[in-house]
Amino acid sequence: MKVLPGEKPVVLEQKVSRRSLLGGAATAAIVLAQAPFGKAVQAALSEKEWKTDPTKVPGVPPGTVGTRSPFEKPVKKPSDISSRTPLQNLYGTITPSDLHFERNHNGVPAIDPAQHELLIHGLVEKPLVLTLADLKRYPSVTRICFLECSGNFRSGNPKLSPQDICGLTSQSEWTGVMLSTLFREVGVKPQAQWFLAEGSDAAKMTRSIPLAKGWSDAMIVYAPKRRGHSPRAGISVSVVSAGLRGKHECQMASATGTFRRTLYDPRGNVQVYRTGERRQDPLFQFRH
Amino acid sequence: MSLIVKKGLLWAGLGLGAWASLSFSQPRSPTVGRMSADTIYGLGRPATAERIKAWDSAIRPDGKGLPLGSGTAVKGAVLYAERCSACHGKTGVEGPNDRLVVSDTSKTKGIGNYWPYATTLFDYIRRAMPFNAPGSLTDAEVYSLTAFLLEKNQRIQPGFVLDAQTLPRVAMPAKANYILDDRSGGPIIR
Repeated sequence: MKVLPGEKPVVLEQKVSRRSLLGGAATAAIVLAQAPFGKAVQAALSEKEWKTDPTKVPGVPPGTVGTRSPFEKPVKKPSDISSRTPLQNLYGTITPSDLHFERNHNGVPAIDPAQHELLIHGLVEKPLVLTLADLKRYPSVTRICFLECSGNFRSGNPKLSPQDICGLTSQSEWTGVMLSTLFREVGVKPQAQWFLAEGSDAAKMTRSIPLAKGWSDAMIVYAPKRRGHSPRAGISVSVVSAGLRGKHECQMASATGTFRRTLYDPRGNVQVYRTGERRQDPLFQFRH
Repeated sequence: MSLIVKKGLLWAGLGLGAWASLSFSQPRSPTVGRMSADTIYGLGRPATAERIKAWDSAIRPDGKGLPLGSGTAVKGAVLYAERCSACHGKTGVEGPNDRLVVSDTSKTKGIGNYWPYATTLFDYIRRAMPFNAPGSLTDAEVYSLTAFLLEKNQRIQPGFVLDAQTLPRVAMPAKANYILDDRSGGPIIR
């Protein structure tokens, strides 16, 4: 049992289960701690302890953070580089944040929010460094966006689950600042055509995005934390822009934004690589 | 409404008049209009030249951004064996991770038959490799590894000295396979 400074354990030096607290003999599972304000708080509860008539025993007290019911066991399906959302277990339209798909290019970065900054430079009048706290002072916008990874689709096996087929698909409510607000703040020069979003992960992942897209609907989002309950995720800001594939959502904190004429083509045109026949799959229509 | 007005007055009273305006001009949705074009909040701090230099590492296709230094495939071969071969194979073909050397027209995508710009190699290696210690290579080492991989993909001769001037001039045949996006259907398709 972890007792924080200032807290008193209900029973010293010993884990206490709800059953044993009630005089039962079950092994320890629930952890109760005496909070400074005198209330016991819930930390965990095993499935075993739930398997009883809930009308005959007192329920657990309120908790400090939500924990999933032991009867609910949706899990993501990880590979070396990504983790798929269990679509077959979900209802409604919002993906629980701890079940949002992941695509990492070199692991999940450990980001300290107090050190996390956004640098905007390049073809701008006024290069700026913005802390996370700065970003939160701008007028905020909240919108629901569906996100899909460009490497989502799998097929070829009739036994594949929805999670296997297109589990790199999730939907969240995002809150942040419109990129256009920041564009005005730094004074993007008229000759700029593209911007480069760079992450602070171990791959310093970059993606080029047309500047017009940034002006029209892109956001720098700081909530929700992508992996919700995971302490590994730290906190990060990301670029979200409707209509672009998930690869454009620089998932690990766009630490630098660079405005250049173009990264891909000196003429500033959009290029598509073509090998053999073009795919007509509608899942793959958003390209740059 | 009264709350907003009070906030506006409070901000004005604190000498933060610019803030007051945002209470009234915030767009209702991200796709409808913009705030007034002259709304500047004055947040953040100016980015110093040192800060920009420290973070600005992206190399453009035309070679802009390439640093000083140079390297050769001979030096790169030693580095490759030490730092890269465990993941990419002895000759860049065997794996277990991404195959780097493909210079034919097979469907397997590699540097020689898929990458349109040689300069991207330098950017990517310096940015993200080696996988277990990204950012640990010197610029000269990155030039040498880039030279080694270009040589293995039959883009340059073994003795070719790669630097900020020569690297952008290395031609990549795959560039001819990149076409302008000619799909019709408007912004929802493109």
